[in-house]
Amino acid sequence: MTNNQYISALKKALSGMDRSSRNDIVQEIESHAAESGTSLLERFGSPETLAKQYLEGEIVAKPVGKKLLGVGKHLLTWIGLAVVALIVIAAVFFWSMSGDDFNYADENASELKSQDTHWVTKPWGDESLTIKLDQASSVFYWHSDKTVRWSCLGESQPAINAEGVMNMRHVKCLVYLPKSALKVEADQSQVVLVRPQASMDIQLEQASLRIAENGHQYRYEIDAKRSKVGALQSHVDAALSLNIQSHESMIEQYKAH
Amino acid sequence: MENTTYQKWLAQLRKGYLELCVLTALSNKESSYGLEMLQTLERAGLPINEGTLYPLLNRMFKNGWLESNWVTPSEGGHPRRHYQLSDEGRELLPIMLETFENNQQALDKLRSLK
Repeated sequence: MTNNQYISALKKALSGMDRSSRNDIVQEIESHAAESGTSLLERFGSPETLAKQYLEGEIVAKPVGKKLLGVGKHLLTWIGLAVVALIVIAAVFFWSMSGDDFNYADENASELKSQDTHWVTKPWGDESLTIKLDQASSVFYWHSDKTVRWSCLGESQPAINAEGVMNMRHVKCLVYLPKSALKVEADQSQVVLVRPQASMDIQLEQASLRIAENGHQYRYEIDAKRSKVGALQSHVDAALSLNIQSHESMIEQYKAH
Repeated sequence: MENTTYQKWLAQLRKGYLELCVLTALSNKESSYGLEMLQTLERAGLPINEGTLYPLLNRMFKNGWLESNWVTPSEGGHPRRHYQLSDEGRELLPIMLETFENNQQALDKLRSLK
């Protein structure tokens, strides 16, 4: 096996990994081969074994099968692109109409803004609310009303139980929250907070959290384990605090694309 | 030794130990890259193979203990991925060293017990 063949096989074996990490790895191995002049197979072992070493403990996206229900991977890709394009067009429309500096397109939440979608409103006082997300995606806003208001797409609609816990599982939601204490627990989920207006406790497990500060300042207390934390500036004098505990997660400032 | 259980034990022992060695090696330099680190470790009496070091560096980078950037050598050639300690790695190193030394002392005490 030549070094070029080795690199091709390695790329294939790392296909479950995110593109940026994979590119860094491949480029680094190529650099080593170029400088040392050695046979990669001889020095690194088989590409599959090497990839296994890299993927150990890695959060790997599920590989797309070659055929799914008899439909080719490329066809699925094109269908996916078409759906994304439609969502982006709709999102741009709603974004331009809303005058808000948050980009709905990025969260695929534009359809949830539609007047046609079903909105649920529940009165909520100053009591604490806990929101648990399990493989869900949600954008959170705050409003002045003493209500929790949400619209979700997915297999099951969330509800708030007697303990003040709102469970979101396998859904995509847009939620308006009152300015009361809030706890968010996200497991394998995506969370976007738009200009939070209450202090929060947040726990993340293999999740992503993006915060659109929109000119507001917050006191961040972050305990991140094996997580990627972006540039969030904490202000000690800020009135609101966001206490975040994360494991294998990503925390960053929201940036509209 | 061909014993599989011994090989597994050795792999477990080496993983944490090598991470500590890499952090230590990098703490003495501004930055270093894979091939140079292999040579540094070998000179220190710790020869390891490439298939171990590069995934290890990647894991340490993902842990947030290392930072990396691509540097093209002044003499030309392929860009090298240079690693340096992150703030977290720099903070962790003395704690890890202390833990390691405490474990070493405990082992010494156990060996001297009658």
